[in-house]
Amino acid sequence: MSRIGVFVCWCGENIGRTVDCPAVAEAARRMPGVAHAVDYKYMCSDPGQQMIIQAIAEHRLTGLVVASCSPRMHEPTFRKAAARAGLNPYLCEMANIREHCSWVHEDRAVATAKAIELLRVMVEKVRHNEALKAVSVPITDRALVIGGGIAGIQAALDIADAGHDVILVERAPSIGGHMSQLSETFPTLDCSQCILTPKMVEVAQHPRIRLLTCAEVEAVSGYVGNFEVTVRRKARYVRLDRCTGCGACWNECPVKKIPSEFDEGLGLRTAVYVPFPQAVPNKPMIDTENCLRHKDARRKGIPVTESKVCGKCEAACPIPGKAINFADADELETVQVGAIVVATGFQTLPAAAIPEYGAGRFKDVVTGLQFERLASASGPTSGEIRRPSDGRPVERLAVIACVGSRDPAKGCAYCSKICCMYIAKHAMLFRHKNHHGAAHVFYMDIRAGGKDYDEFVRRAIEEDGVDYLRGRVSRIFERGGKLVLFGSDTLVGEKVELEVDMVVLASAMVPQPGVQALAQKLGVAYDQSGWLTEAHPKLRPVETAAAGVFLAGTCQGPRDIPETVAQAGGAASKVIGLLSRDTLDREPIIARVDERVCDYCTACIKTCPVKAIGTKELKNRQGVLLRRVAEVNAGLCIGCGTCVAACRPKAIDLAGFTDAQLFAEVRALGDFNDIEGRECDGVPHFGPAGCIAGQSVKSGGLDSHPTDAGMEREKHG
Amino acid sequence: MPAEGRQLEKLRHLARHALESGAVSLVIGFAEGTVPGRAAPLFCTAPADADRLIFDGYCTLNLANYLTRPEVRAHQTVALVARHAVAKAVVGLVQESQVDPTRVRLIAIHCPDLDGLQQDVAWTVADGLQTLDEFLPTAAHLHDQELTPERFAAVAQVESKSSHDRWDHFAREFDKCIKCYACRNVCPLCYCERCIADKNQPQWIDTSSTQRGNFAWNIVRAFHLAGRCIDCGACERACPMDLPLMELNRKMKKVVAERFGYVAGYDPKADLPLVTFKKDDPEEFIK
Ligand SMILES: Cc1cc2nc3c(=O)[nH]c(=O)nc-3n(C[C@H](O)[C@H](O)[C@H](O)COP(=O)(O)OP(=O)(O)OC[C@H]3O[C@@H](n4cnc5c(N)ncnc54)[C@H](O)[C@@H]3O)c2cc1C
Ligand code: SF4
Ligand code: SF4
Ligand code: SF4
Ligand code: SF4
Repeated sequence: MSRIGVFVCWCGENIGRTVDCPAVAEAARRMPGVAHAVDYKYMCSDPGQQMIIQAIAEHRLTGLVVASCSPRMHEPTFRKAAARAGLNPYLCEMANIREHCSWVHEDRAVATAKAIELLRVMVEKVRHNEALKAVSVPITDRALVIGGGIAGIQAALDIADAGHDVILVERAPSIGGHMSQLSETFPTLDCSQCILTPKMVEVAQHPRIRLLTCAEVEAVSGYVGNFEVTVRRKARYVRLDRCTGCGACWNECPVKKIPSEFDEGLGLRTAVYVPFPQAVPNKPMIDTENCLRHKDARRKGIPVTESKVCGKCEAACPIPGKAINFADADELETVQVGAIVVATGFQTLPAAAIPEYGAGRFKDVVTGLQFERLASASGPTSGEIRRPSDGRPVERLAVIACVGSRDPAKGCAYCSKICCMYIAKHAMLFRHKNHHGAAHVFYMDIRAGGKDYDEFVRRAIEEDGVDYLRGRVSRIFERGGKLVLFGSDTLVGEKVELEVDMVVLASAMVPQPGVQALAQKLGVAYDQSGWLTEAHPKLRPVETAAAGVFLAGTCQGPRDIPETVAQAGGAASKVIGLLSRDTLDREPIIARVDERVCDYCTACIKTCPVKAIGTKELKNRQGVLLRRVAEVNAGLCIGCGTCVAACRPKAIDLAGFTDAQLFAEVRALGDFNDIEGRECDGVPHFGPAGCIAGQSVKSGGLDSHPTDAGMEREKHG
Repeated sequence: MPAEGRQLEKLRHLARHALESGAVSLVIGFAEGTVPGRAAPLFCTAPADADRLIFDGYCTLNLANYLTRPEVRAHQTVALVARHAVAKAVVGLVQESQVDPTRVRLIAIHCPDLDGLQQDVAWTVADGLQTLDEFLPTAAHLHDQELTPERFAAVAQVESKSSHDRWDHFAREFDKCIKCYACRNVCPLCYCERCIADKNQPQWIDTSSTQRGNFAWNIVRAFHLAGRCIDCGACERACPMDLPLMELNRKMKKVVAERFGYVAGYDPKADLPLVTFKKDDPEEFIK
């Protein structure tokens, strides 16, 4: 005989305003199996939990129902309270009378009646609950960090410094990300490379970090604590174990006019190349698109090892046995990790998306990143601001804010957040480098929230004399070797026509193209714009919906370096917390197969999204195979219930949500006996205990009247 | 000897030879029934049994049904006298791991059209005992006939009704059901040892002969065969109360073909459309 305790929570006014909580408790006392029912202002508070703990002992309760908020909110709270009182936590359930009831209804009587029904359903469920034991699984003490920008670098270092192994997977030939391209960084104007390079070197030298560059995640399986990740290591054609980065090869490479990605197309590189001098690893790779030998092999349709063309790099390589390796091929490597940090960063809106400003058409209309390269001491102009078209110095500069950002038509409804700051930086840097030059900024609003940020923008305006014009530029065209801007200054209400030498576009930050495919592999959600989504925007900002997968940096949304680093540290601390444990308790909400009933149709095996179901062979004592049945791996099952739905004979059941429990719940919903004065609503229910339309369950039994009122209504309604 | 007689001789010869050579230990075919116009299944284990084999338009049972019976499973290799629908059912059973294709042989009977059940239809027996893989290419052309509008004439008629009339139609038809489960028992793909209709703890499917129970059974039966039913018609022919079961089966077949581009019974390696999990499933029905 069950002795169930019911605890009805007011949630202050949240529930109490709309639901008559004492009446709900009163109704609960009359429900079969309920031994004790009370209501209280805040069940989750300390006194509330104490009430539960005391009642369990006093009334020898065998199960609990807390009628309050969503189980997502407080199920762990109340289950822990139950456990403290010595009751198996899985004998505690919650009836959600807040989100599902008080928050969505206004009529007190109706809401109260519904709360009673929701409660009745859970009481029926608990009557069929069984004690469950958490599944304990070992944890792989190793983390995977995907993306080696400042976010990934910081996360990897923090995790490794705490004593855990890290595999850092970077798609590009070097780590560093966008930060390595920046000249100086707001708000302090320290040189980006100078503060980043030491961290990059630390990554390379850290005994606990394994760095895989030119690598991407191919497939992910497993679950928190035990992921199995397949990494594709792309052919680099240079043996990292042999190469010393001496540079003999790239000095000899005859293909010298390839636009450099690192310099945003403003500088040139060779076909065998190191992306930038401070690259980590500081070793080259061969760009197969442009390498003469690869081109020849492609044209002839032969393996590249059989081509005799060029090969100057190989000849120049001074290493015995050669570090250049034309026989290199992509490799797939499978690694086991316990936690994953996604730090894949951002891109800026491509020029093709902003035709109105002539980006890509007019050479002297440059992007913010191109300007960073021009301003960088290690950049293609050694830090002098010169025009890409003719190399002449820039006398008059215009910077346009919000290019694409806050513009739903461009698919970027959001604010890119960093541009207000870096355009001030750009204008300021320009003025520092050219004291006679003029800098104009076209802006919509200035959003410079942050420590020393507004001061930074003020400095640009007040000390460096940057001309801030509030208004949009409508059009840019070329006239006599100059760029002419048409726009407006909305503060003075005048049209503006400005002739300048160069225009910088603060183009919007956008997610990495293709990051959605990676997110799908990881089970991480993304929003409409493609930014990866955190588990809770306020309270779980670095977690994702996929347990064990965390976010760091701009893959989650636009942000600057300080914020990126802080978030990376946050993600790292979550990973460290996870990896510091030996085992992980997993919810025992897992599927189980009734071997007597299973026909081995394999439907469950094929539908299980995490491949948790395998085959078990049933043999007799002589070892002769009798038949095969499905078998669930408790360590892998995530309790999604897909298999239960797929199994036709219902040979699979989900612990904690068994057929018997769900059936009892449905039955309870169909029971109208307890609701005073409640008449059948005339809608026929096909459920097992459903009402027979037009009659009450009490009087009607299972006699059917196929063409009664309810069906008429369904037919004509 | 008339053409039909020659084909029958060939059929018996193949069966006899298959048993004599030890290629199979059981041949399942048809013998004369006890009443005229009926054929009964025949289980031949000795070569001489083959002489009792017949084949005609009355041989409508789907013999693949027997492959999942324990007595038949006990045989190492079994041959089936298989018109097209029987072979299609074998495909389904292979897809669902119920039958090991290396342990089944077909004595294939070809009819000019998909069903080939009419009395005067000319049928021929394929040369030699075939494996499923050998058989499949010889019947691939029939795929084109699976979705011809004529097959869906009855479905179209039901579809053209108002929802009100449709409800009445099915209420009337299901009302005739006496829960004999003959439809289930003859269906080669209804092989579950314990049908959900027989589950009583808890009992999801109401087994009472009420409208609710009749709807529950007939709808669940059709749903459990969605994307799996190979359109053999055995259930409808078996029904003693003449329920138009193929209306539901073919409606399902049509929806599955439209939604998933899939017709059951042709590819033993294909994924069943309702038994796959795809992360990138557009799930349009939810939006
Ligand atoms: C013009 C400009 C100027 C800026 N100036 C400043 C400034 O002055 N101060 C400041 O604080 N911030 C500035 N920022 C912002 C700063 O660049 C970013 O906040 C920072 O770089 C974000 O770092 P991240 O690691 O998140 O991303 P990223 O730097 O983009 O790094 C992501 C890394 O992940 C790798 N990757 C991507 N996808 C994959 C994959 N699938 N598998 C493996 N690896 C992958 C990429 O190759 C890259 O190395 C500026 C930004 C711009 C555009
Ligand atoms: S779906 Fe059900 S019957 Fe089929 S293999 Fe899985 S448990 Fe067994
Ligand atoms: S509940 Fe079933 S389908 Fe879901 S993960 Fe577990 S075994 Fe797989
Ligand atoms: S064969 Fe006909 S009467 Fe029998 S259970 Fe099936 S539908 Fe009902
Ligand atoms: S449901 Fe009927 S038509 Fe379909 S396979 Fe089964 S017996 Fe044949």
